[in-house]
Amino acid sequence: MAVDLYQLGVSGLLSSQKQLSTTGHNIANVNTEGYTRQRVVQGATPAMWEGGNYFGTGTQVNDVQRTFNKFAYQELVFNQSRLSGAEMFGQKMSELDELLSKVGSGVSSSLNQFYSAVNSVVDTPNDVGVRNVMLSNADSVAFNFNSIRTTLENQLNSLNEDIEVVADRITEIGQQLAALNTDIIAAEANGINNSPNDLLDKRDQLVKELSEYTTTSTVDNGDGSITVFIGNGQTLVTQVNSFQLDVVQGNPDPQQTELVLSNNSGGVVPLRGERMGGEIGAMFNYRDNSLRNAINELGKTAIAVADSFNQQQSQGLDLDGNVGNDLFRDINDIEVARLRMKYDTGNTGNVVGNVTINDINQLTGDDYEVQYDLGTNSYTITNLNTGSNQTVVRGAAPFSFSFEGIDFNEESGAPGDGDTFLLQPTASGAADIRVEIDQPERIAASSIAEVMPNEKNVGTGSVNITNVTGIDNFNVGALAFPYEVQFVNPVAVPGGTQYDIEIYDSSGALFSALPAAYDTTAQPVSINVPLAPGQSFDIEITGDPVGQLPNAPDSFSVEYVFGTGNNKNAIKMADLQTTKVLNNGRSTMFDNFQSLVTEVGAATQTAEINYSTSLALYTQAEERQQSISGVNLDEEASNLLRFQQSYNAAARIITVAGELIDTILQSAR
Amino acid sequence: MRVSTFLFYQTNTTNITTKQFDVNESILHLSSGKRVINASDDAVAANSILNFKQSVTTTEQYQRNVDFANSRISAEETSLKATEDLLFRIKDLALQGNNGAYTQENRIAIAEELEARYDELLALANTRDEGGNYVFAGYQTETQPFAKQPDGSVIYYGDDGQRLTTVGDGVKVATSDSGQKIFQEAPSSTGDFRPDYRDATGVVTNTGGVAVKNASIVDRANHDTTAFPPPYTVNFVDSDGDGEPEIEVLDSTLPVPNPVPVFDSTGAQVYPPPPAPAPAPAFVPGEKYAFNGVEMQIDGEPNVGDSLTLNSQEKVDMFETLQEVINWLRSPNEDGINADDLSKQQRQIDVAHLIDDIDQIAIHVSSRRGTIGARLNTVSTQENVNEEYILTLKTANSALEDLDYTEAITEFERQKVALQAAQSAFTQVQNLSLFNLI
Repeated sequence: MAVDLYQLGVSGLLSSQKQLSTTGHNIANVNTEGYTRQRVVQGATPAMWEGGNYFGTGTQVNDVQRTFNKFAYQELVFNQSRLSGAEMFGQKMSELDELLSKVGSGVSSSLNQFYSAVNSVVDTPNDVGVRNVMLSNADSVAFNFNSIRTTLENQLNSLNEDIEVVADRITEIGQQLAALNTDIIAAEANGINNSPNDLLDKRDQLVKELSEYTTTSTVDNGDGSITVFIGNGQTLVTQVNSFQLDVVQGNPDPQQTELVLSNNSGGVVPLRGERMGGEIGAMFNYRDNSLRNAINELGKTAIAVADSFNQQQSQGLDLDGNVGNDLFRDINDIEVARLRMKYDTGNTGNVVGNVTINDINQLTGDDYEVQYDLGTNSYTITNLNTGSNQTVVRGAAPFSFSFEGIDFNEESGAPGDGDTFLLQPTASGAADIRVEIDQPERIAASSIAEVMPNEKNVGTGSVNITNVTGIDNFNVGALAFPYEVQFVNPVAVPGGTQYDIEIYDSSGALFSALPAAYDTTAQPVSINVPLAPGQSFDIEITGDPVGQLPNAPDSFSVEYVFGTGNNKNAIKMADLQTTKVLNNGRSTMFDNFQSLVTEVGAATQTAEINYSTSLALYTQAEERQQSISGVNLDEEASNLLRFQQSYNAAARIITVAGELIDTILQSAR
Repeated sequence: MRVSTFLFYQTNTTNITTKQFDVNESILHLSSGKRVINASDDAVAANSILNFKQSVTTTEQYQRNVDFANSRISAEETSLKATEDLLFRIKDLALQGNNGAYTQENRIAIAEELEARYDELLALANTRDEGGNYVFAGYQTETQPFAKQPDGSVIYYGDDGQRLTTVGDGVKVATSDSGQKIFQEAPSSTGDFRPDYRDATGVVTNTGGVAVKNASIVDRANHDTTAFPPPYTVNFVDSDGDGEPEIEVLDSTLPVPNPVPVFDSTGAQVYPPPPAPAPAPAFVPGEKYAFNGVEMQIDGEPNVGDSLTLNSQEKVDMFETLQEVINWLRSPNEDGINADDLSKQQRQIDVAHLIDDIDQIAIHVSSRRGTIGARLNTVSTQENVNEEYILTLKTANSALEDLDYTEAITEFERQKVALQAAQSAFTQVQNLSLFNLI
């Protein structure tokens, strides 16, 4: 029998219908995210051999395919992780940038106001009103440090919550992907060569979402399922199984939460958060580097403020003649010092210790890891920022070791092998600062002792008080101020002169003879002069006190100078505004805060540039992928017309076939 | 190349929002007038801006300190100006009192005026500032520094403290002075020693009108107070029996004072007298004699047996001198009882010393005032320096931080045009759908 024209027409009709419905599907999904354009693969049906010729039998639909390019898609997924990571990091950095630039200016301005009040105390040291202003401004300094620290702490906490949310979402996606794998395996097994397009789209879309959160890569398993790797290559999904991404408390610092990947059989793999890529990697990176650094540097500045003023207070006398108390809370308050040390939960020893700060000038603002090795009985101390480390033998308990401006002190107990401690010397600095003095009289504006050079001195010598210990208005009576420091018996030494120092008390009696105590070639020379148990002063000598010997040696009178009008100690406090007390004498307290602001600004700028680069790359990848897989409405419109026409034509074939039959029937009539 | 409809809309939306963001940023910068709002706008400039601002704040603090210092120093200056004027009046009065034509009543009247001046002087020395703090008390600003004792002397209860104020980077000026140094430590008109012409019982015995012009330590290295402790007694003796007085200096070692070797200006030893036959040279008035690192000049025509004592005293007390002048005026003179020639002569010598001292005190106060004036100068110079510095800093900062409006407005216009273009292109193109035509 010849080719059935009806059959042939119907095949065209049906195929056109399929084409139209696929076009309709494409148009309907024009705005569906992750949708891949589908097209119908049409083929001619097998021909029929008749009379030495092949005759076509019509058409059929072989397949409905996704116009999908695996490489374009993988490029998109890869760039998605980069983009999301850069965007998240940039967003967090610009939050921090804005916070420090705007809220942070409160720290500088309150400090400046505080100094302004200090200068008013310099002008009228005995005015209680002015002293009150200084105290309330000190309060405002502490408040500003505290509040910016609280804001940063809140940021840290909300970041930790975000990390948990994202980790949960990753786990969820893993589960969904495993489920989809199951469906796709089943679908592929059913069909001969038909692919479950919309399931595949859904899976690809989930993988793409996953890549927002973390670096993602996939491997085809051959049965339609994929294995999904996240982060640094950790498996999240194998065929039909998925693992769980959990957030656990940090160790030793519980706030530094960590990621672990756990499978159903209870196996747990810890992951390095900042290597995860994508949003979660950016959050870890921001939290553990930028935010941590901001908190530490802010703390360092606060510690510098507190310690500088406390030190200066101790070198002065308050309005009642007492040695000045701490203006701010002692930076080495035992409670604070203890909290600077965190213990690894896996420690086997029972060491309890603390971290004290001995020199703010050397303070780094970095955190340290201390690990004990039983074999060598030594601690290895690693600077977590620079990575430099040093090993020190653990001496007799309670062992104490000093480095980079801090002391690591054992209080009790002994460490076990491999015990690890985290030292955070400055992290809580900005939270710990608070004003300790509530009475304005307690501000130590007056200096304790002063050196008055004898008017008759002819040399270039100069003597300065550098430290006074334990001398106040109530015990000074037992001492014999003024003490006269004389430079006698000069002996020439190579390049200079050596003097004996004789110190006379107020009665003119020789109080202390210090043979060969001053050598001009070794200047400046510091000498501690003990007056009574617990009471002493330190002088620093420079220059050449040549004198008119033998009868008129150069002499300096060390006088007790307490007075309500004495502003010498207040002026030293005022000088702290411009004194470079930090970073090995390179930064004032303002500089340190400002360099933090600038550092964050620069990092934000870099992050913004990174973001736009990633965005450009992502846009390119998206354009490429969309140009392959995206729906173009104009194209679909023309397809619609095309398939409508072919439908019409196929219908016409049927009409023609009908007419043919009619013709035959009529001719037979 | 195909364009996916989804991407077409998305790209256009992104385009428009990006341009909107740019316009918004521009408006933010235009309305604040700042080129750098957050540190990230220009991290390098931000660092300089923060530094500039901090320097401006610090310098402005110095300017406030300049105001503090100015008012403190001016207050001192005013008091010292008044003191100076008062001293001139006191000197006039002392000179009047020495007028031979004046009677005892006249002198007592002058003494009374001087007593009033004395109180005035004391009040000036006890000047207080607006906060009730004593200006000339050193650090003891709450203690009245000068208190008159029943015997007419004045005791200083302040100290040597000197307050400082920072008026510039590393520039500190003193804003207070020790009252003692101003009012009680003028250099003595006779140098480092004070002559006493009366004997141990206070009786004038000198006949030759001998008067010390000056006795100063000129060689401190050789002024040995251990071997030869002061005070020194200068005797005019006739050691060689020629009837002319030779000079002899004895220290205060007891029971037997040491003779102190004395040299004349040629360096020849005149005491102890060289062994015979060389005779001891006779005393020459006005000649410089040196002993134990001290150089002295004595005027008058001493007779053998005349004597004086040199007490160590480098400084004179304004109040004490004034009290002495008053005592001198009130004490009986040639008109009164006990008026012998000797004491008349001695009174003239005494008053001459006092008037010289008042001169010295006036010079001293003037020089102190000069020092304070110099401080005012330093302060005002520093004020100008600070002002200049603030201006420089602000200019430099403005270059970095402030917006260049011309540039910014041009940029803003450009962004506006870009946004408009993007918007209109989008609306025009999005109408061009094949669906509109079928």
